[in-house]
Amino acid sequence: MPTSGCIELFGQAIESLSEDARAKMRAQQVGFIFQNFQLMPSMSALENVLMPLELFQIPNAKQLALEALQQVGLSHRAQHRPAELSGGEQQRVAIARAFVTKPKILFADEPTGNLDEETAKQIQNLLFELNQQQKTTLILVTHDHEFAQQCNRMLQLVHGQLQTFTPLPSPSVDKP
Amino acid sequence: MLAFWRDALTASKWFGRSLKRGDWLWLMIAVILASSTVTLVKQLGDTVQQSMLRKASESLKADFVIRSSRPIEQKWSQMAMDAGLKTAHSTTLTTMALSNKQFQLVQLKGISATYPLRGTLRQTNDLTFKPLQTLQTDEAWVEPKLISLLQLTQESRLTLGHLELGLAGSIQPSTFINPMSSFAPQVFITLATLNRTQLIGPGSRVTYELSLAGSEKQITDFSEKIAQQHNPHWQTLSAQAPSEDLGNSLKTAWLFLDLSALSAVLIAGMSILIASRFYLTRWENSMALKRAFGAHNAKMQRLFALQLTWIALFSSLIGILIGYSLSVLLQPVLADYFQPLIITPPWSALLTGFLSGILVLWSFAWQAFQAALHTSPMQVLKSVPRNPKSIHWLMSFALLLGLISLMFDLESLLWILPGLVIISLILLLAASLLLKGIHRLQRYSRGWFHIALSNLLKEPGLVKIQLVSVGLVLFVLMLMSFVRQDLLQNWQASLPANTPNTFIMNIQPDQESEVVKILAKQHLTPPLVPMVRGRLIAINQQPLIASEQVSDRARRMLEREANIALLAELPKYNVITAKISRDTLTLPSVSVEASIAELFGIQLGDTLRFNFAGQNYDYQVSSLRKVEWQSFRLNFFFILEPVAERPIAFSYISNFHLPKLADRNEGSDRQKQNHSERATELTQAFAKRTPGVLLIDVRQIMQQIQDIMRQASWAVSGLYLFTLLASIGVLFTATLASQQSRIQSWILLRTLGAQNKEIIKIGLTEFALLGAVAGILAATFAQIASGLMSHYLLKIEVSLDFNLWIISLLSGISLLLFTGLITQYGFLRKSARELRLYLSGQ
Repeated sequence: MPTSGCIELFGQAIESLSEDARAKMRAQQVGFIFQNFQLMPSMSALENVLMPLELFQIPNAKQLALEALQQVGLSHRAQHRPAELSGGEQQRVAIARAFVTKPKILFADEPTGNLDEETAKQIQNLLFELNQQQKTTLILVTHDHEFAQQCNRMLQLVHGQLQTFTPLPSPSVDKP
Repeated sequence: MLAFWRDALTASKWFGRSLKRGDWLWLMIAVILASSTVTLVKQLGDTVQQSMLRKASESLKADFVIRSSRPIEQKWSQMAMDAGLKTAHSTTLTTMALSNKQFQLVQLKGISATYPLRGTLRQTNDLTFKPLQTLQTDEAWVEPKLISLLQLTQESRLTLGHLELGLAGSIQPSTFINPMSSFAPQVFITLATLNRTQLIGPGSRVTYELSLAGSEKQITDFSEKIAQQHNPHWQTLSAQAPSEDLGNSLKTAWLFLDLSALSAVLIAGMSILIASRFYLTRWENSMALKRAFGAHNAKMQRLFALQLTWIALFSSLIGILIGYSLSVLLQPVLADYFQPLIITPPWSALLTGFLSGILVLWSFAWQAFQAALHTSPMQVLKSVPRNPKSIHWLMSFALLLGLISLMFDLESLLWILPGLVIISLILLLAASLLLKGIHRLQRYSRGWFHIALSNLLKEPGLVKIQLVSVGLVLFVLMLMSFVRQDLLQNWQASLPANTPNTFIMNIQPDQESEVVKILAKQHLTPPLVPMVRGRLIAINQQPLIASEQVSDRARRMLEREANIALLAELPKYNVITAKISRDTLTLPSVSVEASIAELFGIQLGDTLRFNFAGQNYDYQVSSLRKVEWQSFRLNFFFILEPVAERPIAFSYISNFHLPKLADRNEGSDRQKQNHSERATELTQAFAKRTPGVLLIDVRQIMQQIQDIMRQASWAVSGLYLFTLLASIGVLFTATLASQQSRIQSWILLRTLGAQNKEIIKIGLTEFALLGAVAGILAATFAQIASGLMSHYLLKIEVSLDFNLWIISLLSGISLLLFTGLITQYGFLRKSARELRLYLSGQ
């Protein structure tokens, strides 16, 4: 929760909502991708993607999860555990898990921060590709200037304050 | 409701997958351990207890006996039958029997057709009779002693009152525990025959018995009804408490069984506590992620609780199956020791085991469960400090209360629970202090020892839990060792090789010199002690009335005549606990046994009035004595100063050890025969030359007691071993819980260039240190606990045992070193890369 100011999401100030109401909002409309992937180490890739679907008892969960893994090019690694996957593969599983519930908005916290340059590039492309396909708003936090420049809107945080606002020419990302 | 069933389905699906992956392995092992041990201990305990009760019942020939000096009204027998109990009647009196023109004092017992209700009457082969069948009218069964006393043959006739009876069998005497209970040989006839002898008339001293047999509950219910009667003529005997001394030993045995079940549950609980701490990080990560995905509180609670419940149900089920199977496997072994072996229906053990498994998981995993449930979704991004609430501790405590109440009655709960809480708190405090000590030691240490110490101090919270649990496990084991040792030594230690095994009673003063001559011929010179039979009737002129006494023992003491010695000097084997000078007394003196003095509140200088066959005499208390009743020596509640002016009719009593070995050095069979031969020879000599003198061979009674004690100590040793194995399981879990941080430090050490040799040294030092500290903690607490137990429960002197400290220290170190070697060996051989891979899989 912000210590001062206000955060509005889908027209609602989130600090005015109860914990459960915020959970409901996250469940129906928000997705997350993390810098350290946050996959469950004891679950296979498929089970990790299945988790949010099963949590909300979405029908045809297995079918949807397999499709999501196919979209990120990992259907052949469905039964592998995170420890058996490379960093890039792990992040692709996390992306599949984030997109599988078809969120309206997806927050990605340094999604390429833990990856080498080449793998980071592949992940960036995958993110924008899915963003286009599913019409999901993507909000990225990154230190990679080049990556940020691919977005259609860029905000820079300096010493806790948003200092610059740079509209970008490429209309590759929908505005939130 | 629909949401619940949907979540139940999801939880089951997740549980199934986790099961396949082995995610819950340690929790499941702990629950299986708890439920299997409780099932096994309960089933074995029940079986052993029932078998021992049956053994006691068989000696008593019933489960419960009402003994009365007046005829027992028919309504009691009817009431017992209505309650589903089996009944048998007997009437006993001491009378003279005549055969071959010789008279002999006998204990004549008229029995109903249903006698005995438990066990069988065993035929001896002194004479060749037909196998025992139902006793017929005008027939008698006799004890072998009577056969030798009266030189009976199969054709002999025995005159009892107005009847002349034929002999139909010679049977083992049914004396049970109390050597004085039947001093004259027994003769069995039917009740109808007894009536026809016309021996029972006004003034006859007759004992009527109503014997009962049935289930434990039926007996308990009925005996409670009887206890409410406060009938002054009644005395009750029960298989559960056959005699005071044996009753105390058996109580210790039951306490041991209960303690071993409790220790099993505690051990499993500790294992769950440690394992859940290890799982908590994983649970928190998973919870935070699910919350980030939008799961709300109620859903999380349902899903998580349902999964834990699945673990509990599934593991408990496996546990009770293992526990029961083990108990079935152990049956043939038990059958060697307990005859007959009474196998109790397993339902009660299975249910207790099942519920214990479920409750043990919830009590000990509750803290971790609550901590995980309250994980903030922000945990996925950064570490959020936990905020533990005291209400959860209360919940854990309540669940633990439920768990322990499954195993103990309310009375035991009242001391076990506070005891556990206090011990855990003190252990925690002691662990904190020891950790501080290690901290200080670390400052002055160097090299690998310094690294080992700092590794140990890296997670003080975990080390504290480990110390408390290992300490508690060792403590319970030590406690069990004490109880076991006490049980084993209780009889063995107090019965030296030359313990008297033969008593002679009823020696009239004019027979004294003849008896001394007969004994001298057998090289026996025991002292003859003058003894009177009398009753304590007043203390300081205040009359004592049996029916007004609260304690059973006091009532029994006043109802019966006691054996009272007339001695100028007190026996050397009695310990005088208090005395006053003879000069301060105005009356002849009496020395009182300490427990009796305590029972009636008798003080030094008090005046006691005794009744001896109608005559009353006053005596003043000059000393109090402690007496070892189990020693089988001549012991008395009261010892009076002999006074010439007080003509009290007395007889002599004596006892001695009739050794197995005769003077001649012959084979062992022959020697045993010698023993019996000598007893028979003496009996015959007394019968001929000093009629009325009775020889009582107590070897059989001692054998009975030793049999029961041997059975109890065997059961105790078996359970002890099982608990020991279970506690090693906890050590393994404890090691696992700290595995992650240990491997992290190894990787760091490897990266910095440490060789395998050094890492092993550091790793094992950590284990040895932990073992040493836990060992010291356990020894301290075991010493305190044994002191308390010795003082309050076993009523023996408290002693400080330095060996215990050394054993505890060494066993702590070796247990942990052993565990360390077994669990760490695989990891120590792995490369830094493999170790890193292992960590990322966690």
